[in-house]
Amino acid sequence: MADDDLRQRLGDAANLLAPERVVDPGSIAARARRSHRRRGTVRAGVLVAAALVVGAVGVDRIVGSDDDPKVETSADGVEAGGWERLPDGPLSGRVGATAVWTGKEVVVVGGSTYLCPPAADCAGPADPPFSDGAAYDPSTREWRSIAPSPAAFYGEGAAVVAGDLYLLVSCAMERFTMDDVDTCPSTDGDVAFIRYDPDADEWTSLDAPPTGRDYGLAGVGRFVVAYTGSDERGESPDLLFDTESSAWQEIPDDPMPAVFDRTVVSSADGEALILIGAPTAALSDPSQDNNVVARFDLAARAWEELPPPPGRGYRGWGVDDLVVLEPHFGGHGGSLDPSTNAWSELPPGPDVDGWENQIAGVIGRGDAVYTDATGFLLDLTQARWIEVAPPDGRQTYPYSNVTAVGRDMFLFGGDRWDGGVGELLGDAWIWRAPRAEGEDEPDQPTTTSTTTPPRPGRLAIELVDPPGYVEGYDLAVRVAPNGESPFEHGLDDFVTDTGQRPGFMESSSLTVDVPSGSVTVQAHLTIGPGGGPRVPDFVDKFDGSLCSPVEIGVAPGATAVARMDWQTGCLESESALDPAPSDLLPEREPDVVGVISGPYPDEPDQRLRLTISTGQDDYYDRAFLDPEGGVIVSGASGEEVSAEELGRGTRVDVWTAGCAESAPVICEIEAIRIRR
Amino acid sequence: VGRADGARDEFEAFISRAYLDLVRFGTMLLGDPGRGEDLVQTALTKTYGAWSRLSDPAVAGAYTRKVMVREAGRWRRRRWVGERPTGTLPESPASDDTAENVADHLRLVDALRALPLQQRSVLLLRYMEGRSEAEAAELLGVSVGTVKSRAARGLAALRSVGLLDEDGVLERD
Repeated sequence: MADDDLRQRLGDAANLLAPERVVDPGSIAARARRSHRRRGTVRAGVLVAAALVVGAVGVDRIVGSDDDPKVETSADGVEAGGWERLPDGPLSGRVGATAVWTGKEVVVVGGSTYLCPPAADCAGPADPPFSDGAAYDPSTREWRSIAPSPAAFYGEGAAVVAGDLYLLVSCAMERFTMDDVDTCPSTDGDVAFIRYDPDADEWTSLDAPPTGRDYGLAGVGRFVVAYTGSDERGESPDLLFDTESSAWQEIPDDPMPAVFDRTVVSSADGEALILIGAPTAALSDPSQDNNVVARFDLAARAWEELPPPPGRGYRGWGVDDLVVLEPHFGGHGGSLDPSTNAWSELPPGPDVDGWENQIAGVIGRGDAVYTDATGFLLDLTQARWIEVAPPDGRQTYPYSNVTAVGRDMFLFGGDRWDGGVGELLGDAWIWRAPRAEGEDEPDQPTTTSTTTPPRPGRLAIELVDPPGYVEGYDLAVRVAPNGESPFEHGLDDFVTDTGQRPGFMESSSLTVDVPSGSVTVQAHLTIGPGGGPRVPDFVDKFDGSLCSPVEIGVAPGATAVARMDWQTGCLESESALDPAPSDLLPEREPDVVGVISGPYPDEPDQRLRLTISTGQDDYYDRAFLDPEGGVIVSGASGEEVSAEELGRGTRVDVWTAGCAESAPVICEIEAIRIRR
Repeated sequence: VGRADGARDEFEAFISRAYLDLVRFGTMLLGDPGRGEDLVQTALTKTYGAWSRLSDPAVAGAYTRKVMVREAGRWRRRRWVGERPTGTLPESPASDDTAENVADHLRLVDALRALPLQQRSVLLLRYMEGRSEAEAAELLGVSVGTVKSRAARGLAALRSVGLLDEDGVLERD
């Protein structure tokens, strides 16, 4: 009766808030497919790069089949030292810049100011994309500005041949919007085929491909291969651009049936291309759902059919001397050795729901391929999968471009969201891949890293309404920081079952030091028979956990407080956690940005002052900054910082709760955030 | 990049059948229809990615709800989707709702929103969607005992704010 009443009321409330209306399942499905495709298919050129920079080891959370699949991605890479911030370059913040490793420099070009919150549905960029660029030399750790591209673009992939970049900008429109990503191939937007010569710092506009516009690019020997992604709308020829004669030519028809999921990979020697596809017949006959593979010898201009892979895969990637077929969509993929035409199986995927839609690259012994800084990486050197997350909790989906620099991953920009405010980032980072087995200890970077290890945090577990006395009952808490093996705390800490006071609750709380990041907590109960009536629900021996592990975020320097039901060991939700300073910052933009300029020795009160940054309202100049009395003080990443850390020269965002007219102005300071 | 036309049709058919129920679940989970719909759309992206394993609509529905609960937990950690009050009434309430009923419904929504996500999820699965304890446990990836304890706590919380009487029957203003 009560159930029915509650059901009725919940249903009525749902009807009120979400009244039924006509929906178009086709458009909803199309949005889901499009989002999925953007997530999974960042188009990128295939680079076979010399291993140039192999830096300090940083192993992100390693995901194996025994791992807890509920542990979510966080910025663990930062904490593990995996990401190192590089010197800032001349480019403004942006998403979707094209970052390409030439073998000597990383060229970063294009991009957009398009800001779209995580998981939101946005209309599209309001501004045209960028055409400016810069190049970063890892050997000198210096940036240089480069000549602007003749076409503005974002989200494009590139191919590299002989150190030159080639881009096919399929939507080189005057005003390019997000909608054009999908509609461009059928609109009248221009196609620009352009080359950048880093040595001459010179762009050249080349003849566009004579047919079609929707090509992927791959560098193979002295050629740029332009290949179609699918034969579903009829087969059309793939093309070769000869970089020496600047002429296009068609590649003879491949021996495959009509296929989709077509990708081209260069052989390691650059003398052949490997084409991988999946027969379109499999779309109606699942029994044919495997890949077909063929090799085209550039000198002989002849095709050769190769054996099929051991498992279904999606994109082909060239790494070391192998062609790796990545197991996107939940297949098993495989690894092809073109010298023997033999396939090998890949290590099994991690036991994480949806991992197959988040494959972000492959790491070999000498090089790597990366398409995203968020997701799962296949580490061929140790036959395992590694989870990687970008620094600062920034969005890399779908725009922040990455490229392999040797075995490491270079990341430029992206966007970060806090309090409903998005920020375009113009910083550059490098993720150090784990060392391959047998690899020598790498040289340490010659310059000081701009990142420091984050401070640890603390986790406090408080029992809710514990009884004073309970027999036959033990409660232990297993704490696993950042996916590591759990460490057990609390056995006998909460309840004494030995000694002079058996059964007495000795403590109702437990505090442990933990690394900041994601901490998994699970209680373990031991309840003995004959434990007396004070554990009413359990009359039989019980030894185990009644509740699933709970993941708790611990901010650097902060104490996360979790409340636990003493009887079941179940944790209350995250709402019980202390908010991080970033949660307390006002959601509006800072009122003023500046640099701390005091205290001055000749001033009697020795107070901090604010010198405003260029372009700020001079009303606030030289305002007193007293970070006391409830003022929220936040670090750049939202971590807790003490007022003592605010010193002269610190760049800060400042929120005020009102100012009194005076010179200099006297404001009630609401919050201060240290800027990077 | 091709996907099977058949799979596309199946996916659209699934959406056609399940979408409104998913939006109702998402709306009540987050207390906001717009965010509920966003949550569904996000979850459907993942459902589509896993479609080859999910062609059974019942499995797909459970999978999508599972993703929704998980995503809702993640969204809570992002300030940009911070809880928004629902102090204003929808422009077009159902015609048979009196103003008092509407206020009652919103009180229930607010009380639900004050619950921890896991308790809220259990109450919605158990009492709004009429799923068994075993189904809810399977869907949330927890034990039946946990479903029981979460449901009991959720109901107790509704009771503590006067929305349920001691017998579990809803109180009305």
